[in-house]
Amino acid sequence: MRWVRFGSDTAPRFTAFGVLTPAGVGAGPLAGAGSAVPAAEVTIDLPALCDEPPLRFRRFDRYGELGYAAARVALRARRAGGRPLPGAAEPADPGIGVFLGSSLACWASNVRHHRESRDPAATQASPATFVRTVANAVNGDLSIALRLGGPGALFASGWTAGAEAIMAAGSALAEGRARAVLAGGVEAPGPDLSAMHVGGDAQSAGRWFSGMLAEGAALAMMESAAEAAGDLDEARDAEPARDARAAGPLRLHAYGRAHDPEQRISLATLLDAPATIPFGAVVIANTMPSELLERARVAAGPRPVVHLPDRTGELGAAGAPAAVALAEALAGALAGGEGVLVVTRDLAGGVAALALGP
Amino acid sequence: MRHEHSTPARSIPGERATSPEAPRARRRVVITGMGAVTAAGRGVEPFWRACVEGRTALRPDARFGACGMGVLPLGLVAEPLPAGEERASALALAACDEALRGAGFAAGGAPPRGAGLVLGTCLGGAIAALGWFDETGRPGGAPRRDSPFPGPGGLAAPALRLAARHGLTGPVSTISTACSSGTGALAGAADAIRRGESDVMLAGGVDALSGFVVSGFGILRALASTEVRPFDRRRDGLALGEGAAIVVLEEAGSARRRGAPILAELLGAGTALDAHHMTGPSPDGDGVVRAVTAALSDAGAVAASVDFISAHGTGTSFNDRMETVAFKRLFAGRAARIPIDSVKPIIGHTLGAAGALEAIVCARVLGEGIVPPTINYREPDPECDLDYVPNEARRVAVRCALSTSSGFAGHNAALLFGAP
Repeated sequence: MRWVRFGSDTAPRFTAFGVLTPAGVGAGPLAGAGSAVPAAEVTIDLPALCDEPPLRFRRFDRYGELGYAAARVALRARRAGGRPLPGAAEPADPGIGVFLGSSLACWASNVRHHRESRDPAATQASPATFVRTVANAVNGDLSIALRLGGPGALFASGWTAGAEAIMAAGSALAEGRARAVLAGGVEAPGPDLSAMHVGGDAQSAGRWFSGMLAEGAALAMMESAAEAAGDLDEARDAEPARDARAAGPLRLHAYGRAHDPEQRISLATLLDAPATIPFGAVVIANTMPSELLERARVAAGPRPVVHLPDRTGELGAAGAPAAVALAEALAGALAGGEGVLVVTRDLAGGVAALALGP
Repeated sequence: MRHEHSTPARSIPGERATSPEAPRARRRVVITGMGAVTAAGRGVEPFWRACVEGRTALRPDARFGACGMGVLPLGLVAEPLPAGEERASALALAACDEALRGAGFAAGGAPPRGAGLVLGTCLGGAIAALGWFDETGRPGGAPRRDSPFPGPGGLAAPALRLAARHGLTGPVSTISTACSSGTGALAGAADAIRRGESDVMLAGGVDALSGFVVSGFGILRALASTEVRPFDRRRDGLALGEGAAIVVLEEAGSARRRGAPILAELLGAGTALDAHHMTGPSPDGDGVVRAVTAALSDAGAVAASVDFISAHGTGTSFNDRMETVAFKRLFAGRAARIPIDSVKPIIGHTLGAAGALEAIVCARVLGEGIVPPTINYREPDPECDLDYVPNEARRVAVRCALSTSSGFAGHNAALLFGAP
């Protein structure tokens, strides 16, 4: 694995988070051990959370609902930190992009259209459903609703896709392709698929995953160093929002990714990587089998190791972005200059690492 | 080895590049191998020959009548594909074999350690995953333990299959941005090389046809009744096709050191969101303008350097008018003098593969100085009044080729290629 390292002057900043998991809203419920337990569903009233009538939500499938609501939470946090994004009446802003990741993406709409479209007369198939079967639908929802006209992509590389979205967003910011990006992951497996993964079905199929497949969304507002500096200056006098808060100056220092189906890249290797900062804590974003997890804890030594799925269920591509939000919460308790390593592994071999710190 | 970002001297997003010089020294990306599978046949050559000869591979087909679609012109792949594979993976595997052979990797059996892949697709192997769900996911039905779930949503299945087949250990990624997926995949792979993540990246796109897709475009009333006529006044929709295209992207120095054939240089890439509508493009072409502007800026090039455009050119009323508006905004008085083509009447709209196939068209245009025609063009549309190279191929010396793609949810992508 080759690391991509950002210079200290160009490292992109995380300035706000919108995190919705079965544990609740924000990183707070994820931070305390024992305070959250795995579950399959987010039980929050999403329209109410967004202070919106449910009208907009009628257009969405669950994938869209979660992505839109997480973005609204992140933007409320950003407003608390200074400036709002441009309003819908203004021209689309070419400097703000949307990079998202999802393993299952629009799975539920795919199932629905698949079943409807097999009617010989196609009388059941609906244009409204088919439109929701594009995996990048949430990117479209957000860009249209928020007038975001910058760069964008939907990564569908399995559980590492959310980490990839953050990597792509960070690079776009560092390279001057955007000044701000909404980046993260959304997963909406739906109850049928979640149920099938409980009880070892996947394990019997030769895979090691047998946990709780959960829905969730975690989006970060990432900004270029210059853009974030302006916001943070203004944030000092701002009122915090009721369920979100402006994030601290957490930075993406470096990242690495690889295809590693044989699991040759160990946590010890990642901890020793020349990633610019010493790591004071590790967050493992996706389900890791107990044997590997034990080895990871040994490699981490005295550093705390958080296995996020223990607190949320398996969030798929939303796991890494949620882990970044948790890293922001953990970083405050670390010694000065220490950072957090976020590691994610996919069932099929993808591995991704994010080096985060002040 | 690691790669450090320096502060770039690039234009701000949305601003036209003003200097023809590269803004900073950086790793250059070249194409060293190409592979394709389309309705025109298995291989780049049958595809290119059909394009240059203006010979459509679309055929009337009724196999999706069960979805209420009747007889439609479709671009189905008839050639034998690797056996025992899910269809999208089989298409991608066949294209990849040709690309690696062309790049000179076949003798060694595999690309070098650390090589990666970015594959663009709308559905990947999702149809197979949905089939599995049919059997196991009925409400109250018990999971079948003898039938493993075929992957995370199925979208990533073809990329994972290629990674396994060729022992890839670099970044392996799937991008799904609707019909701009293939273009976005090349952009993502080039970025990985420039950032130092790998010296060799496979990149491309794939999608297989299914009743799922055909019925969807049917109920959107986006399908052509008989033939596809991009930019023609009588155009009435697109025809769907299937296929795959893979290119081998390589850091230029690495390619030269091993004596690989250099087919074209990928000079720059850009993506942009329309922020307009989930299925309809922005009428003023804003998203395409921003994506092309970003690609020019990425390349350190100016609009005046573009002398060929491989358009998205679907044959729908909205898309072709939008692209014409966008090209006029981008190239002003030069727009009418730049040859523009659409190969979609030849092979159909191959969705996630389209942008990657059109990248191959750009490379061949640069290499051979022949621009394929836009066929079925008979009645000029006053709103589409540029040079679409109607019906006959044309010899043109091209040094800089632009490829544009647009997809549902407002994703636009652009690639800029230079002669080797």
